Amino acid sequence: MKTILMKYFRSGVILIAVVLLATTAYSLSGRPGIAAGDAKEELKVSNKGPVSVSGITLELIQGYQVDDHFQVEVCYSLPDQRDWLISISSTDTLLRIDGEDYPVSETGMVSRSKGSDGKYNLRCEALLFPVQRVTTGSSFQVTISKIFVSEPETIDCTALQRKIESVQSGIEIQCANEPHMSGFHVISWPNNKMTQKMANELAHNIANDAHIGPWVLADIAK
Amino acid sequence: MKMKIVKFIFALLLIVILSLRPESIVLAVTCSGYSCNNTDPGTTGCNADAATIYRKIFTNTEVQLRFSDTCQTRWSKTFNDGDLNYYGNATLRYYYYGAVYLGPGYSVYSNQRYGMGYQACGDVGAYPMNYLINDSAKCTSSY
Repeated sequence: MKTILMKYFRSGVILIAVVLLATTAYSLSGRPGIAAGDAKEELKVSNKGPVSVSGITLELIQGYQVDDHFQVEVCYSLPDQRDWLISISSTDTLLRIDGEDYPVSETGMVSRSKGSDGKYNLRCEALLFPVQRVTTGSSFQVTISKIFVSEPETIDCTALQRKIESVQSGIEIQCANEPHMSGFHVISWPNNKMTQKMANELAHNIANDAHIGPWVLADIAK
Repeated sequence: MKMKIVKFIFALLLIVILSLRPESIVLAVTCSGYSCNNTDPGTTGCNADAATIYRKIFTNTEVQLRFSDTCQTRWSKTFNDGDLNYYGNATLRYYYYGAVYLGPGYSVYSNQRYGMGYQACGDVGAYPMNYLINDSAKCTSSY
């Protein structure tokens, strides 16, 4: 009798273990909508954040249709007083809706808030995507890959060269030298390590103190 | 006694100057209010605390409306987002424009204007655009 009971007990323990393993595996792999890699995957989960990556916390406020654009509003913490912007290049920020990706076409600052020290510490931004007829209740996901400080109108080229050199040696830059013109580009780089395009991107990331994400957030359209 | 007072004041001034943080020195600007009209936001120092209010993206172009808290001025800035050299134009709608030949990633900006309710417009293209751009499709919202 005791042996039979022990057998049942062992079988029960094994069954519970199998169920627990299966549940864990499902919850790890089967959360629909969070994975950024599968374009055909349906988004069902709301994940508005806040999400903290690279020292910046970002939160999705809402997303809704405005005329011929889908507007997504996000707020993010500011590392300091400077003009921190979400990169809106088509490789950095994308809206995924119904399995399709859309780049940003317009942005607008909704608000900036100051902390108790009187310094700006939070910015809210509206991102507009050229998507028409998104119905209320549709799931969407926003991926933001970079937040950086806007490029100033005047650049201290010597100081910038030093700053780049302190992070990556072998990159030499040339700055704009005409009135009303701003910017710089790399003129030499360690070509055994990187292409000119990579060197340019790295130099701009260093210059603009870029914080690299991604911040991935999802919600249901209002 | 007089020399001592002078020395004391000098030392006090030195302490005050040295205690100034670098950013408060950078924020020194050379214009205010209407005297900023039609001046360069870079050379006047108004750009030191600039915020980018609106951005608009279209073919090879990013147009920005920039705003200075200190000077209460606005100006337009246009980036060449293409992979080739192009002519660029940055227009503060109805007032000023800047137009230059731009390498990839470079930007052109207009003069600034005091007040509110301005739009930034701009474009990059194969031909010089030495005029005010007034096409709404190439302009940001107003601020």
